Amino acid sequence: MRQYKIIFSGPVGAGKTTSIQSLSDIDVVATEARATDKVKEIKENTTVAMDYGRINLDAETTVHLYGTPGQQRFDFMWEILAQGALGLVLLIDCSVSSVIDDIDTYLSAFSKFAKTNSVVIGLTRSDLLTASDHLIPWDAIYKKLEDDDLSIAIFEVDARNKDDMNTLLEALILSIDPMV
Amino acid sequence: MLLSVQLLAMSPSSQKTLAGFIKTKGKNHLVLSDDLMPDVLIIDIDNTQGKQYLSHYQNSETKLITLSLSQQTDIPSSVIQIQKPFTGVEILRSAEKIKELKTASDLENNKALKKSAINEERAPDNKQKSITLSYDPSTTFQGMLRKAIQLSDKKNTPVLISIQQYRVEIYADKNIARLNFAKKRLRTLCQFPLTDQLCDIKKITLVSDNPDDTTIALPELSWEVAILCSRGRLPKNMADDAQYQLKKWPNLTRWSQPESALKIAGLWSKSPNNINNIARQLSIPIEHVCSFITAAIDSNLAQQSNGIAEIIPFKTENTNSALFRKLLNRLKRA
Repeated sequence: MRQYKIIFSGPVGAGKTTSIQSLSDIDVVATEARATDKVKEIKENTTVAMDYGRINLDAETTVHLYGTPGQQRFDFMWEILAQGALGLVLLIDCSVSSVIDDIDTYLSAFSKFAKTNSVVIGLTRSDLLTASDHLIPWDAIYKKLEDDDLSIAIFEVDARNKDDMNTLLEALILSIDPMV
Repeated sequence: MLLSVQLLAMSPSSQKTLAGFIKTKGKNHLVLSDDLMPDVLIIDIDNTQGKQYLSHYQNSETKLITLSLSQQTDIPSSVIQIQKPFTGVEILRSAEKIKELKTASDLENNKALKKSAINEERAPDNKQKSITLSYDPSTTFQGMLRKAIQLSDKKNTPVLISIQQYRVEIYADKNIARLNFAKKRLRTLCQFPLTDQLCDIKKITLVSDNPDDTTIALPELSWEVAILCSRGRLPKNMADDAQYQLKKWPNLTRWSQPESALKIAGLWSKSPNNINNIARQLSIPIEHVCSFITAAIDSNLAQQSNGIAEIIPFKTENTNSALFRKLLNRLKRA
């Protein structure tokens, strides 16, 4: 049996659990608890250990999808979960003013992993921007990546949309090996 | 068969009369359209603008009917001339004639297509021997858009592009554009050659505030327009052996995704590379790379590399190729 894993990370409410659900062949196993801190202003329940989903490629091959808890107090777990992973999917809520800081936080937290592995970024909740007649701050986001000397795939995604999540995962695979 | 028709260079009263006729007595033959490439254009050539339209469109595939006070001798025979004052019957008779020509031409095209498909099947190697086709962006909407963005940027002011009823306002300082039409209509603007006579670019101070306008980020607009104008060709000032570097990935979940885009971006984001080499390494038609690189340069996601560095062929170091193939197949199928 060959086992592989892909990690999903990002701030609270960015859509990690939902995106894993969009890709998974099984119902997501979530470790959710009632939010008690600032998170409860964003949502009632939040992931406290990890989310788990699975893509079964054939009888012998499985890709496990792990979602990290978003709160920064769990950041000791992030790189542990990422060890041995094929790649990292960062999901960032682009409707909040802290979008650049959030990208910075998560890229820094996974900097060791990112040196030798592929990372892609999905910008979620852009519908909230459109509703208020705003656009994604692409210039600032691209500048952030350019400053970090990173040329990584960064797409607008709806975590509920299977096509979006498939495209993001395709980009992750083709970032690792474009020749396949 | 209904022919789509557009009326050009007419006085408001002639336009109203003729449009009224088409909507009533002519409705079984003609339908008014705002396409830039309708089946038929009816042009009043007794004015300068009409003459410009005639000279621009006379080599296009659109059939032309001209209205003028006197018969013109310097007009190609493929153009149907109607002398003023004219009657509705003459318009309908011309439409009938165009329908006959169109039916005959469609039949010929179908035959030619079938023949070419058979030839391609017989000689599949032809696809491998692709060469780069080039085009001049300055005669397309792509070139006009570039010019307008540069002007808006340089003069730090909004700039308006007007082509017939289509308006594109460029705000380089905000990195956005506003269109008075839906994004999907860009295809129409990119379909045919443009000249300065047909496309007006000017600075504006009063900006439109129509809530129905479409707001679009300039990189996205540039990407879409370049993809539509390139159609697998390379702008004439770009060489297929020059090295380019992809600095930023295009937003491929929302922008048009030309064929092989994810593969091209995956390889090209790793190091500077040239078009021929990317096509060869990925075993894809060079046209896919030409479309991608043209759009990436126009939307400021890529740039030409300074100097010529040695291209290091990408070698996969991982042993997971079989897994990746399975996973990609699965994602594409899902």
